[in-house]
Amino acid sequence: MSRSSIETVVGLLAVVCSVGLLTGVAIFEESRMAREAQAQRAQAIEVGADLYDLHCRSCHGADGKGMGQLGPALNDTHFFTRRLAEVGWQGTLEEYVIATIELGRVVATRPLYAGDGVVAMTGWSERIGGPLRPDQIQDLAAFVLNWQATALGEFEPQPLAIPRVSLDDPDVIARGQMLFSEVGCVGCHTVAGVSTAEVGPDLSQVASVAATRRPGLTAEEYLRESVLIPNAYFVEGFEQVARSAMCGGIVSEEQLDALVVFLLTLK
Amino acid sequence: MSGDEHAIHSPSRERSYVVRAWLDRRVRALAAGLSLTELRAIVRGEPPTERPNPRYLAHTLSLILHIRPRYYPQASTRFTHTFRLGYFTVFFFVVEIITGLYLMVHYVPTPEGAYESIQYLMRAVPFGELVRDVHRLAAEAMVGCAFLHMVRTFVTASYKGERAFIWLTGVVLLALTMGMAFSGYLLPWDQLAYWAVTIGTSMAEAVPLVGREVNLLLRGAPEIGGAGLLRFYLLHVILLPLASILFISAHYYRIARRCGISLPADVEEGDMPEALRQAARQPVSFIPDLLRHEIVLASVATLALIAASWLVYDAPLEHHADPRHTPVHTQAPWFFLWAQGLLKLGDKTLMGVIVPVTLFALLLALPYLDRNPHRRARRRPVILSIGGVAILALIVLSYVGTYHVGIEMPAATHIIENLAPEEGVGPLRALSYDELAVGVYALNKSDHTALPPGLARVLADYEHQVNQAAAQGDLPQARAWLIIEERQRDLKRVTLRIVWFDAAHNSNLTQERVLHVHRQRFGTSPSAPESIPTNQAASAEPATAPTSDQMTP
Ligand code: HEC
Ligand code: HEC
Ligand code: HEM
Repeated sequence: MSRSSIETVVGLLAVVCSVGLLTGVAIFEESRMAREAQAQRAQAIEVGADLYDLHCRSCHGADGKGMGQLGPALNDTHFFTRRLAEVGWQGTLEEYVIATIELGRVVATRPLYAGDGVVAMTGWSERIGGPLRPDQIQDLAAFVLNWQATALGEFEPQPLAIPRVSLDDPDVIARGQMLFSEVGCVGCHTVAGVSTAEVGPDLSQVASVAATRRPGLTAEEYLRESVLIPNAYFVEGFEQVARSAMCGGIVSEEQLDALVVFLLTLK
Repeated sequence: MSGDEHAIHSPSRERSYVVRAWLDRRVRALAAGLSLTELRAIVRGEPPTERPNPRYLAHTLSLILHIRPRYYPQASTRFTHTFRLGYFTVFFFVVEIITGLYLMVHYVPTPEGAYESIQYLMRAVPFGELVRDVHRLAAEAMVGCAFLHMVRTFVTASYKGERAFIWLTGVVLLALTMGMAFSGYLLPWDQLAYWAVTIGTSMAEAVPLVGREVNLLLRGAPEIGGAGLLRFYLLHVILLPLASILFISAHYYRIARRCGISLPADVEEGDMPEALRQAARQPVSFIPDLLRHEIVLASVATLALIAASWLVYDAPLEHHADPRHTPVHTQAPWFFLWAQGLLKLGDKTLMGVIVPVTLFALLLALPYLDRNPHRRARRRPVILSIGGVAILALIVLSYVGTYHVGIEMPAATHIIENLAPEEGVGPLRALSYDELAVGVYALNKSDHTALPPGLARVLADYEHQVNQAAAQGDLPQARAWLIIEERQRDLKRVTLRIVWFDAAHNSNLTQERVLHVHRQRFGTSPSAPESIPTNQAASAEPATAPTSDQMTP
């Protein structure tokens, strides 16, 4: 065979193979696109979960069950089944979630979260000065909506056997003390040897009085409540102050654990 | 009706003659003067059917053919003389234009829309992923071929004399090619793109005197945003391709009309028998021989592109660009690694602007600096050694440009990045969802043998890396955990935490990374089997509840 005919044969073969390959791609294209859509949704949930932990967990709880007076439960039957009707929302739940995240809630729809003249939840959208881009808000919504299965009782996450934080672990106490400055408690409270602010009560001996403040609450429970639901109890003499300078800072559950362990050492 | 046609007696023959004459005129009009018979002869590899040779005439009549030569001397067409590198560069450029048009239909050049439009292309456009892969692969191949083509013309000394013009337009083409690749890099608007381009354009800032203005011109604002993206998009789809078409035409035209492809140096200068020399100069016609050759090369290369894109090559798409989050690694695309390497070696103005501009100027001036008239390798030892050193330097600089060199990363961050990199997969994410058995795993404390084998392997790897760092004194008194929790249906939260003692602060430091893993992150079928038995009580040590912040003293 001459060189030119070998070339021609090779060229023809290549064309036939290319067409064959493209046909193969075409045949699997439908399922490939479905898989890709699924993977993209999964990745949105992953990213949404990271963002949730960063921005939302402090008020809505790591497990979405809400945190006291700070934020309502999202991982919740009521939220998934009746909430839209309750507020008279015409669109889908996803649209409701996205709208809420974007614009926040200047005033809460329920008195528990109304928080006396304080914005209940700030808007998160970049458009109105928040930190989140539209794609991040979409991802967050995907994550929040993925609670449906647990909220409706169709699925129970396997519990993780993490032992409770022990109250005398020096590592945790040190961490709590560090957080006390980092999340801003020092701006309002005095703790002997740590801070000197006087907006809120002196906490230097708070561990001694905590158990007696509210009947039925242990010292630990009371300390948690002071940060989570400041309005539940006012220390004498601070009723007025508490309206303008509400106690608390945005803390995650784990940070709160450490803070409480630290406060419990202040006797 | 003319007299000739009266001579034909049969009306049917008359009709067929008229039809054929009509057809012939049409074909000649479309095929640059080639008749149907001639086209058939070309396809069958037969000699021309008319005189003067209509195949040469075609080079005058056709726009595309007029920048191609009528023939080359036989020796110039040897595969090992050119490796067809220039041709392949043109081929990839054409592929880029075709696939680029397909991508352009779906692409949205705004920071809000770009990333989503690429995701849309991948999940909802038939052939979207394939076309994207081919576009990206052919772009890299084009850069590679253009560069190797320059090396080839350098080695064969094809830039001398009249060919200096070809070399000049070539250097401009190399710059244009890299410009297209670089501007295209930004368009998906993912982390990889955003940060590579941020670094790249920050070099512009270092231009003496007008740095701020150049930078603004490129980015459209102090930071890359909507204006910068639009500028890059327009550069990528309009200005640079148009300029490339212009320069490729000039490059080709000079070769076709003036110099031809150079002869191999030993044919031109060597002492070989006259008969051989004669044979080496025998003309090889463009039509049909070289044309066929080029079409065959194109079809083979097309096959290779499709096969590679389908089977092995995946155009990367990282997380959405986030100006607030600098990634752990920012690495330039491989063809700009040398520049990143240069930047690491010295000051931005010197290494980022003055050196590259000088290099570019030297390349442009090469035909005028190298006055040596000889072309054979043994007669140009100096320039070839300089070239060799330059290529070595390029390779070394590129290596210096990778993140392996000169970037100090704290040991704990390094270990975590090894196991679960911010971008891409890494050993931990590569585990199947079910292998991530829920539990708290304390390194060096618990027995991993009962765990799913993949998880046990990753834990052993983790343990090994932490112990090694501890032994080297990078992580004194290191303790480390891997915590896997179930968060939602099909979603797990995985925490890597390393705690070590920091003598300088006399306290413990913590480094932590949390990643969420969804069952369908690779698009596995939703009906995957329910989880295999998990091992919960693997840890004997009480680990404190997960903390979320990085680096807490
Ligand atoms: C400062 C505490 C706080 C933070 C932080 C916060 N939220 Fe809220 N969130 C609230 C409060 C308060 C409401 C209002 C409840 C009401 O209207 O009764 C709310 C309402 C919502 C609702 C509507 C719930 C319903 O039942 O109507 C959603 C969804 C929501 N938040 C999601 C988020 C997401 C996602 C984030 C993180 C980007 C976030 N929130 C961050 C406090 C917070
Ligand atoms: C803006 C000022 C302010 C900040 C910041 C603040 N608090 Fe308070 N805190 C108050 C005021 C005012 C009170 C008293 C009113 C009340 O009990 O709600 C109070 C009460 C308390 C009490 C109850 C004291 C008692 O004697 O019963 C505790 C405990 C407490 N704060 C802890 C914290 C912690 C922990 C932080 C940091 C996360 C913090 N506070 C941040 C203002 C603040
Ligand atoms: C987009 C980039 C480029 C394209 C499309 C291109 C295309 C071509 C083509 C098709 C040829 C014919 C010979 C062959 O196939 O090797 C050629 C020859 C040539 N090119 Fe390029 N080229 C490009 C870049 C360059 C660069 C970067 C240089 C050098 C700086 C260069 C210098 C030359 C020279 C000197 C010749 C003549 C070779 C000879 O006579 O043997 N070209 N080019």
